[in-house]
Parts: sequence; structure tokens; C-alpha cells
Amino acid sequence: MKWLATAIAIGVGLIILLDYFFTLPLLDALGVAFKEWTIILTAFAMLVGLGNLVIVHALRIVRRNESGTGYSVIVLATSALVFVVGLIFGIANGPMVWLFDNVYLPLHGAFFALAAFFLATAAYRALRARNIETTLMLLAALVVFLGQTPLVSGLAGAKEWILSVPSEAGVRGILLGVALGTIATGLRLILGMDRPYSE
Amino acid sequence: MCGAANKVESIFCDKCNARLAPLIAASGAAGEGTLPLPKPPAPETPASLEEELPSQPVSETTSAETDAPDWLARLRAEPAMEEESPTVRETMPSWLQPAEPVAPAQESESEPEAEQPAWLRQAPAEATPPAPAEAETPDWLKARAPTPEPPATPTIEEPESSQPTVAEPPETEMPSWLKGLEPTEETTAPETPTEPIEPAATVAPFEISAPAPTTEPAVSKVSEEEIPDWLRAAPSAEETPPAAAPPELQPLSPEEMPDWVAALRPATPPPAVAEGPLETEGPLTGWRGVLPLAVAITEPHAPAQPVEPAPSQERGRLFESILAAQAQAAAPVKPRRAWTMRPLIHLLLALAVLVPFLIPPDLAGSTLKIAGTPAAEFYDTLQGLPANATVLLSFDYDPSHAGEMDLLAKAIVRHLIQRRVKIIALSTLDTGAPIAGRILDQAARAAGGYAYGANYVNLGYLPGHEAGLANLATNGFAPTTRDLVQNQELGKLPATANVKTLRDVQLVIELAGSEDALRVWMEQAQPRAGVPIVAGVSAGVEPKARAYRDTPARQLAALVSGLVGAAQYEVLSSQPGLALVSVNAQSAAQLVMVLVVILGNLIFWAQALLRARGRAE
Repeated sequence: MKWLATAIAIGVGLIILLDYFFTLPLLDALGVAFKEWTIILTAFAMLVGLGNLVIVHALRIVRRNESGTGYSVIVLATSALVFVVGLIFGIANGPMVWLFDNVYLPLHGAFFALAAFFLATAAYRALRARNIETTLMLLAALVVFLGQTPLVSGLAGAKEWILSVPSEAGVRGILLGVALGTIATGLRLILGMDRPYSE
Repeated sequence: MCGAANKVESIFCDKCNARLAPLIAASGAAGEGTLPLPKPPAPETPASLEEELPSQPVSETTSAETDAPDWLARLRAEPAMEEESPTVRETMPSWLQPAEPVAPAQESESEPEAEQPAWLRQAPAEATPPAPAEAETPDWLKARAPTPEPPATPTIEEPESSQPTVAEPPETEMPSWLKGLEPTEETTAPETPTEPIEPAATVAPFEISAPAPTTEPAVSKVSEEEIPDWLRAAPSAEETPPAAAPPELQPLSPEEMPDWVAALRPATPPPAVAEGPLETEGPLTGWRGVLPLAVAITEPHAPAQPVEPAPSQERGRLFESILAAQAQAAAPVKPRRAWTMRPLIHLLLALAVLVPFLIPPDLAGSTLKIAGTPAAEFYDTLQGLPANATVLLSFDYDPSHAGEMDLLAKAIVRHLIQRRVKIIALSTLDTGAPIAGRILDQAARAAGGYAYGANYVNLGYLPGHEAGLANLATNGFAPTTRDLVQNQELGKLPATANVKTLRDVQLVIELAGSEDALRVWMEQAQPRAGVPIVAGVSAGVEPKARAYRDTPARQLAALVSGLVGAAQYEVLSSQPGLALVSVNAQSAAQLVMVLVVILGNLIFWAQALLRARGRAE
């Protein structure tokens, strides 16, 4: 039955591609239908992910001999709490919003803020002028650091040049490479050379 | 024994042919390379089976005699004493006593009758077996009667051969089936070797001859009815030619020996080895002691006796245990940790972040550059929106970026509310919808007169990621789309009553915390939507977002980034807030980072210089 999956994938891919370039009622209808199916499948994928999360942590609790069982209990308890609160009160009303603003948001923000300290230590160890390349990188970093700082406005022009010329040139190259890679991957899928759906 | 003097090396008496060397030595030597273990008494065997036993090759015995150890030679030196001492004979096992060589009948009769077992009394000597009564001896047994050996023949007699024959039961007691086994007249007489055998010492290797069979098995006489047809067709005993003597064991001729076996054979015979087993087959036939390992394997090994530990060993173990106890009792010495810059860096960074919040915001705001910045361009774009315009505001960042992006989003939303622009909020992330609702609600409450449904709407999470965004850009909002808070259809809400597609909004504002969110908007929505898009991104996304802005097509109409951009926007919109205060802390932290990097390089170069001087010295 792999040929059937390959045929479906190639057919859907060609329809979506032709729908992008041509305006035909049939292609438009098919394109809209396929996109909506994709959205529905994405929603179900989230449900599957939730089920997998529950199963993994429940098994870890049942086995008892694995490390981190306490964390699994916390994960399942909080998941069940948020799930029940969302079902009862809705996701845009009082209890749910309170949980998000006072539990979820501060935890994420605090965790992300710790990155500043690790970055400082990493900068101390890594940003060292060992050779010409690292010296250039060090100088660019220092200029952008200082140019970003309002107190040292004299380097704002240099910072703008670094971001607009060397940095943007590299970013454009990366974007073009990603785009070419995406086109190649799409063509391989449409031509049936790559079949990740049949594995 | 005649008592005549003989040579030391003589085995038999020159006068009477009596054996001078004890037989036990010969029997022990028969098993080459093995210990002279005493043989157990041979079981009583019928005479018929006894005759079928092949006699021991003489060559092994004679060769063993030449290789006898010293203790055996001493025994040979006292043959007369052995013969004359009756105690020695008495101490010999019974199974060995009749193994004497041929001796006069008087000597056999001189042994005390009481010490001989019953079976030995019936057969005192092999040389002169008692003639059984004619009535008790069957005819076939008579024909098998052993021929007396000539006295001068130095034959080696096995103990089994000297055992007495089992007394035959009288004929009246013989069962019928046994009578059928009675030999016929045509049975050939047993062939008894009568000629003297040369000592084996002269036998060359590979010329070992097999012992000749003594007798042929008896042929039973079966009734004619019991003979099957196939057997009748076979030639009768008279027609059968006499069985040829079994071929002698000859070494493989060079023609029969495979080449690879011949190649294994040594080119030159090994030196004469006095000990070791004699190889009787294979390419090494006739050589002795070539495979000494076989003897070690086949010999019984005495079990190793457990060795009692010496007292010195016990004391050594006690000393070791004391040392181990002391080593365990001693506290492990932790390696002294090297001093690092990490605590100092963390402390400096924390102070740089906290202290600026204590100084007035005007100090930092006065240093901000506003004119000609991307924030000013963004501000101008929003200022150019017509009255009662509708913008789509996408909150595509998660809570981890909320610390930075919230300030930028609040500044933009405040400006939009100030302009009384209708806002339709959504998010391509599941965690973006509550963020949008929180920011919009706070800004609306702060501004006043800006109501949900009438001025702004939160559509919540847009599922499908790229597919959902492409579908939105292509087909617009589905008729069944409902808002997140009031769960109303878009047509029933005043803010979205006239909005069906993205072309119905005047501007799309993308608030991206990551590059991926901005890329999806640029790839899926911007080419299809036909509406200008501006973006407010985090500082980390700015280098990549510039690539979409700095194009001739202006894929991004405007771009503002980071905390500095938010502070500039607050200044531009004359609504100073938390962004303007936070930019001082950020500036101080960046200065600390620059100092840390410079300090690290100074230390690095100092260490390199010291190492270079060390090498030079």
C-alpha cells in the first residue's frame, strides 16, 4: 500500500502547488479543503501529544524506580488542574487567565532571564582574540554592544553599519539557502523521491 | 628354582628357565609411561572367552624391561632371594601368584593348599592345567584344550591366561541350548603360538606385528529348521576357506599416506626417548614419547590438597585489614577548587540590572536617539493610518519572550488606542492568545472608552501554523470564526463586522519573538495578503528581520525591535512607561558585559605572555 500513500502525497502536493500559481475554481476548492484538513490534523496532533505526555509520565509513576517520579506527579497534577479549569470556566475567563498570568508567565520569564547570566559567563570565556577571525568577531560584538547602549551613542552609526551590511549579507545568504533547500525538498516529495509519510 | 647363579640382567634362569625378574615389574612396564598400579583380580571368565583374548604383545614387555628404573633393577638383582623367600610369594596377591612362568609341578604343589583359593586349587598352573574328567569335559572343550607350552619359551603370560578354567558342569546338567553350541568336528584347532618370540628390543619402529589370534570362535550347530533360506544359500563350513590370519598392523605406506599427513611427519626421527607411550597408529607409529601431553591427560591426577595458610600469611592479612581501616577512616581530601570569575561576573550583572531602577528615568531617556531610528519609522507608519482604520495585531511570542516583547507590544497598543484604531488580535501560537488578551485589556482599561467588541477583538489561537496562516491569507476569515472572549461570530461584532479577509484591514502588525514566526508571516501571508506588514520583534530577531525590511519591495514596511525600540516608541508616543525605565538597566548590563569581555581578553593575553616568558627562560 505504499504506492497509494505516495500517489496521494504527490497528488495533494501538485494541487497545492498549482493552486498557488493559478486561479481556477476547482483548484481553489481543493486547495481550501486540503488546508482545512491540515489544520484539523494539526489540532488532533496536539491531542495526541497530550495523550503521549500523560502516558509517559503515568508509566514513570507506576514503575516508581525511575528518577524524576516526583516531577511526573507535578506534571500530571498541573495538567489535570489546567484541563479541568479550562473545561469548566473556559480559556479566556477568570481562573484560566489568572493561572496563566500568575503561574505560567512568571515561570517562563524567570527561566529565560537566567540566560543573561550564562551568556555573560560564556562571553567571558569565548569572546577572546585568539586569531584574526576571533578578533574581528570580538570587535563586532563590542561595537554592537556599545552601539545598542543609549549611554554610548557615539557607536550607533558603526552598529547600524555592522547590522546592515555584513550581518544582513550573511542573513540573506542563509535565507536564500533555506529557500533553495525548501524548494528542493518540496520537489523531492512531489516527485516521490522522498517518502517520509510511508516510513 | 635350581638356585644356579645367573647374570644380573638375566630374566630367566639359564639352567631351569625359571623367571628371575618379578612379573609385576613387567606388567607394570606393559603400560608404558603409567604408574605400576596393581591390577585388580581378573574376573572369572569362561574358557571360551578366555581363549578369545589376544595375548599381550611381547615387544612392549621386553622394551619395558630395558627401560626399567633402578628400583626395578635392584629387584632383578635378587631373584634368588625372591624365589627362596616364601613370604614374598605369600604377600603377593592371589591373582598374581599363578602368573609365574612355567615351573615344575612340584613347586606348584609345594604351596600350601590352605592359602590357595578354591578356584586356584582347581587350576594350580597354566602350564599344567589339570585334566578334567573325561565324563565332565565336553568334546568341544577337549578340542580347545590348551597346548602345553615348551618350557624354554619365554612367553609373557597375562594373569588372565593363567586363571583356572571354570569347571564344566556334567553333561547331564548341560542345557539343550548349550549342547547346540558343541563344536563340530570340522572346527579348526586353536592356533597356539609355539615358536619363541624374539625380544622386542630389536623390533624396529613401524614393524609392530599384531598378535595372532589364538582360536576361532566356536560354530554352533543349529537345526535345519532354524536356518533361514538366505543362510542355507551361503557356503557351508566345509566349503568356507580357512580364515586368513588378520593382517599385521603395518604403517601406512607412502602411497596411502596423504601428502599433508606426510608433511607433518618429522624429517628425521626424534632422538631415542626412553619414556613415553608408544604410538601404534598414525604417522607417528613406532615412535615413543612424541606426544607426552597425552600421558599427562590420561594419567589420574591426585586432587590438590588445600594448603593451610601459614601463620605469616594470617598476620599479613591482619596488617592489610588495619591499613584498609585507616584509609577508610581518613576523611577524603577534596581538591581545592580553583578560583573563577563566574561569581564576580554574576554579581556585577545583578547589580547592573538592579541599580538603574533606582535612578530617575529621565537620565536614560535624555540619551536616547529618536530621530531617524527604525522606531520613528514604525511610529510614522502607524500615524499614517486613517481614522477608524482596522489593524490585525498578531501576538506571536511565548511567555519566555514576554519580558522584552510585552513592553514593545504595550507601547504599540497604547499608540493604536490613542489613535482609536480598531484592533483584531490573534496568535499563531497557543500561548499567544492569553498574552494578547492581557495586553489589550490592560491598555483598554488604562485608556478608557476603548471597549471589547466595539474597538478590539481577540480571535485567539489560529491553528495550523503555516497552513492556517496561508488559508487566512488566501481565503480570509471563515464564516464560522468566533472570537475568544464572547464567542461571537465576527459579523456580529462591530469591530469585525466589515472584515472578511486580510485585505479588509489597513495594516498587519506582527509581534514576533522568534525568527520562525516572522518567516511564516513573510512567506505565507505577505505575498497573498496584499496588505502592508510591519513588525515589532525582539532584539535577537532584528538582524534577520532587517533582510525583509531592506528590500526594494519593502516586505516589511517598518521594523522596531527590542527594549530600546520600545523605549523609543514610548518617547515618540509621549507615553513613558516601563520600557524607558528598563532601558537603563539594559544599558548598564551591556556595559558590564563589555567590561567582562575586555577583562577576559586581558587575562588571556597576560597568561599567554607569561607562558611565552616561561618557555623563553
